[in-house]
Amino acid sequence: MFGRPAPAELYHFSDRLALKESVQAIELRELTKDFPLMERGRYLRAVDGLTLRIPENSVFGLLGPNGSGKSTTIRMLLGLSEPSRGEIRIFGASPQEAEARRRVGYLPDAPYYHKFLTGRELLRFFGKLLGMSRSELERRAEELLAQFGLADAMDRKLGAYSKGMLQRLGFAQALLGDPDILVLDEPTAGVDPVGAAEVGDFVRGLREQGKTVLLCSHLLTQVQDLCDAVGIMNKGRLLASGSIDELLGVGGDARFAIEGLTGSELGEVARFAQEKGGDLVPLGQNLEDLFRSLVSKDDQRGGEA
Amino acid sequence: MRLFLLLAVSGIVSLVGGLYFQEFNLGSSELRFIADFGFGAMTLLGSIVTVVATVQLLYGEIEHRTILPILSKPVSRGEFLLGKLLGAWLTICSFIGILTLALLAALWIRQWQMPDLGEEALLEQGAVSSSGVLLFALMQCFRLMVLASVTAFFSAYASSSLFAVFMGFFVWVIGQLRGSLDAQWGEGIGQSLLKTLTLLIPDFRIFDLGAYAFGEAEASLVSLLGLVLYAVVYAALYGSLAAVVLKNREF
Ligand SMILES: Nc1ncnc2c1ncn2[C@@H]1O[C@H](COP(=O)(O)OP(=O)(O)OP(=O)(O)O)[C@@H](O)[C@H]1O
Ligand SMILES: [Mg+2]
Repeated sequence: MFGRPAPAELYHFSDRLALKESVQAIELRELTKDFPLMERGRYLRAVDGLTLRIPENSVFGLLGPNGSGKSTTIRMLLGLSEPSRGEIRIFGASPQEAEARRRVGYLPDAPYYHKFLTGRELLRFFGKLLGMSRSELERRAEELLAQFGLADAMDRKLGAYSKGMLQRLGFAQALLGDPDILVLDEPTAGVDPVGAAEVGDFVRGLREQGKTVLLCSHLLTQVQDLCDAVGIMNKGRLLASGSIDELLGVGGDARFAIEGLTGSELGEVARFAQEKGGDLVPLGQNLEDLFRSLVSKDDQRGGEA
Repeated sequence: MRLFLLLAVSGIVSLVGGLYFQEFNLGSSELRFIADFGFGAMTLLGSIVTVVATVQLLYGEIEHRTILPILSKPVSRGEFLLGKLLGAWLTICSFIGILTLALLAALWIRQWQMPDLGEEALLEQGAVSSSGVLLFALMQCFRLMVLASVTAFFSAYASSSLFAVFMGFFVWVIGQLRGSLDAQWGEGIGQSLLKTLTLLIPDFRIFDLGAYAFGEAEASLVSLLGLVLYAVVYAALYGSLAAVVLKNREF
């Protein structure tokens, strides 16, 4: 749909697939979720036939406007919600299996933690759920709390934590069991710009450690230079997915929003723009523009239907 | 934590309540009165604490969605439920423990304040055996274990804490009245059907072994074990139902 990769690249890609057939970190097949509504027999389709493959050691951005089904997808991925249809595989296993969940760290979309615990107690509690030994747990908890700048606050109650502190505690909690996959539902929500940049660095660090990251975010500029691949959802359906380069058509068929001109006329337009010190920038260059045009087109189509 | 404050306060209240009655001189039946009062407090406050604690522990997690990060860990929903039930039961048992200590202390102090009554008189006129008190408390723990798992079942199903609390109290009241209802019903197909239905609700009255403490009945090991078994069966039944409901619940 968007700029095909060159044949050489294609072969390369399939070679890798053949070699690493078993190392899709996450696979979603025709995933669908219906929520029953108050009226009998009617339902809301929050996720609609979603098919995705996220290879190991990559960063995948799941994008979409509010209510497009991102968090619902993630909840199904963690076995918190049962799909109405379709299949989920985490390293080939179902998320209903506890051992599959052991390999996944989850940052929820809001800090759903017990307010009466301190930061350290929360990590201890989760560490016990992960079956960690006491000494390892203590060491790892202190290390993570220090890493996320909570060393001073770790013996204070979570009720007194700020939004950003809770978010950082969420990261510590997600990393506690040293998972291979991290699922981050809006890691930059409620975080200041400096913090958001730190989150970006942190995710890059995870990739360097060989981890796989699935994240939801509304900061498209950050997603564009952070993620290896993205999927754009609207109303539960996947509108587009692929690597950033594929989607933005870099080096391929760049598209412009000028219509009905001949080639020479277009050339004149480009020359004119350059004479004036400007440039014609292909539309797809920017993830945000692509996102907006895809979603608004999809909304229009939905309105007509 | 607030719950423990409540525990402590009600324990002390019953202790003070027990001592307060030293103002009235009811003679030796006074000890019996104090014991009855203590047993009542255990049954009543214990049931309230059980329902509230179970709803708080289980439905509270669902309501505040703190269950989401917990279940995303390698913990099955059954294990989660079992942990919660054990936690609730431990709370209940420590509560009953506090009340029992308070009651024994009240009895002991009162006994000590009545030197005019000789040992013999005490024995004659309704002495309260402390082993009977302990037995009563132990059976309350089992009774409340059943009530906790019934409440857990409704908590797993509920979409508001009010519903769960209400259903917990409802089952408690029905369970307490069941025995007397059974006795009043005559024969007939409709009645037998109703009787079978009431089997769904455990009979809580059979756990009230106050009579043993007053030396009016002898405890037989077999009947006690039967009672414990009865409690375990009902607790397991409602615990499993709660697990099934929780397994199919969306978060
Ligand atoms: N438990 C639920 N019961 C009923 N409907 C639900 C439930 N959870 C989500 N939905 C609906 O599913 C749709 C998708 O919600 P979801 O939370 O997945 O969106 P999202 O993409 O994460 O949005 P946001 O960017 O705001 O976080 C919404 O219309 C929402 O109302
Ligand atoms: Mg969301």
